[in-house]
Amino acid sequence: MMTLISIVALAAIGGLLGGLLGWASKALKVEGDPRVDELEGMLPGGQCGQCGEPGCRQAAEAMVAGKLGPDCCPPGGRSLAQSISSLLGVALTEGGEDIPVVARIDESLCSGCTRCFKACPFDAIVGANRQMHTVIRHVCTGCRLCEKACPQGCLSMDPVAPELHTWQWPKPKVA
Amino acid sequence: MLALKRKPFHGGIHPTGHKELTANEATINSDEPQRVYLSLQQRNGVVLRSHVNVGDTIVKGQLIATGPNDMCVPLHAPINGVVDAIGPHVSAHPSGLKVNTLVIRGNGDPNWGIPHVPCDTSKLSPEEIIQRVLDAGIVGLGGAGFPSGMKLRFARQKQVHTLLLNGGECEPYLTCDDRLMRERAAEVAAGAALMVRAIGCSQGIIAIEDNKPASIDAMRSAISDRPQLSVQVVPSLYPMGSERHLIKAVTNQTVAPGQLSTEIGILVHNVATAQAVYEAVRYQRPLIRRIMTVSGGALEQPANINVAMGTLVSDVIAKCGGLKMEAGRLIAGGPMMGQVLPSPFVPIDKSIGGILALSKDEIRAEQSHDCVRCGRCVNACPMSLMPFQMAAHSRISDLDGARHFGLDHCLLCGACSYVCPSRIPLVQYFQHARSSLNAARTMERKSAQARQLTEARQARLHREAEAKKAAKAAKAARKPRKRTARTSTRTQRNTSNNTSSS
Repeated sequence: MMTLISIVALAAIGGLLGGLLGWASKALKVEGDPRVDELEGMLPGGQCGQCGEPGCRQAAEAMVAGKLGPDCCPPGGRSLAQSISSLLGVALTEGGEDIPVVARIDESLCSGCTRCFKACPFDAIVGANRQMHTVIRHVCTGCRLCEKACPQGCLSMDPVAPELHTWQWPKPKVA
Repeated sequence: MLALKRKPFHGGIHPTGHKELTANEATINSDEPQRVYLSLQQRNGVVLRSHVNVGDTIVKGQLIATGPNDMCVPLHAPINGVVDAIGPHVSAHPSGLKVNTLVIRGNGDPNWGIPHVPCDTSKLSPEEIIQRVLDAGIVGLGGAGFPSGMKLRFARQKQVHTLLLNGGECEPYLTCDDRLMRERAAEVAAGAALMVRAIGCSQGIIAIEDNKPASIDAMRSAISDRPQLSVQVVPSLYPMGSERHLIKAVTNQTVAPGQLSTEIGILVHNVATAQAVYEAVRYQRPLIRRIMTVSGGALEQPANINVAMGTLVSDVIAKCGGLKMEAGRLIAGGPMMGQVLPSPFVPIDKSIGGILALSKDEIRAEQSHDCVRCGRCVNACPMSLMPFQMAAHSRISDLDGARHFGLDHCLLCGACSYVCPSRIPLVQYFQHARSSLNAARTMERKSAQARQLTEARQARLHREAEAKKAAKAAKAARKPRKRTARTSTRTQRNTSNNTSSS
């Protein structure tokens, strides 16, 4: 008798809780991970595709899913990687940082085709049809989209030279 | 116990002074240098625009470059001569980066190109005094290099009640302020009185450390006929020269972290700045020379020397008899807060108060050990921080952790590094962490700007597409309307024809 009661009671509880869970999964369903939206807001939004994803939204999804590391966004740089890693709670690997670059147009080769100008998601290139183009260096994020668009091959990426106000003290070397 | 009670602020250290090397020698007036090198970029990155070209003849005191606003001081020619070149040259910045520099070849003539007649300063209004200070290109000669005229203007706006003149000079080796107060006490006092008038405050206090008795006597007699000025003796304790700590020692008031001293009605200026203000206001002379201490164990004749801006460090050392042994390290400023010079061919700028050529014996070995948690740095920290914790977080690049322990409030005074028995390069960690934080902030600003730009671009593209669509629709809509219009005129014409024919 005792066994029967316990089996029935447990089955009832199990059924009840199962039903509750089934209902909850439908009624309280969350559309996507809210962290994806938050991450997307943090990314530069240039849709440059350097992370290997088609755009920033997909990159945010991949980072939340753990397929991409927090340091996958070169235009965002180290500071973005750090804030993403603290948001997702993922450790940041030391030292794997890219050297920051900016685009440079060899103006003697530029034909004024406006392709780089159209490709730049940040409006960091100024120019007009059949006019020489140039890069606004402090706006350029070094996303390399213009480099691919240039038919003349006159776009190159230069490493950013340190200046007085951007120079950083090196970390002391301790034996 | 008594000694503990008399301590004017928490922490602080008593480093070996080494001031006897230069304190008792009269200041040498250096000749006009053969060449001067003037950086056209300030340390904060602001670029000055040069008003002269290569080959131009310029005279001593002539305005040669200006910045975009009052926050960067104008540059004046320190010597008579010809502009030799404008090009990259290594700057006094610790990075050793090359910046655009104006080189003047001197002709040895020590006379001012523009006559500077003394004027009656009592007739000048406070705003005129401030304008003259701004025009003379005076920056704080204590080392921070903030434009003095702007400081006076802010203080006037904030209705500051006390001007505090900093004669602390707590850094070891440096004696230039001490010598200045002894030799030009009257000028310092006159400059202080002018600043008091410019700010419109009630009193000026000249604070001098008790290890400079000759300066105290000289200043006391210089201010005897100026009732608004007074001299206050403060105990010698490093870092007494820090603004916050001097205020605490003199007035027993604390400036809250992150606040400026003007919030509690006190403005602090260096005594050398006061002397420069006197020259600027009375004679309208720009700041083109300063007194600096050239000292250190590797130097033949340590001395205080009045030197023209833009003189190379190597020339200054040569003026002091050169080096008697290989210098282990060249430092601009004092040994506690100074910066290692990247090369001896660096030009002097307005904020360098000393050049030290230290012998190998005066430098501590680089070898450092693990932290033993002795807590000496905590006791020494004048800002009541925990340097060992800040360093531990900085070491693993945990900048937020370092900030949590007060990285933003650190003075970088070096007291912790001085007392550390493990010889941990604490200040170097903080310098690194501070500059990384700054870089991260710049990067954040840049990425926010990039996001704004892409959003603006997308909005623009969207607008353009909409406008195109609208134009197309309008065109499509116009076509049939035109036809109807044409038919209506035709019918009209027909009717008119009909009427005429009829």
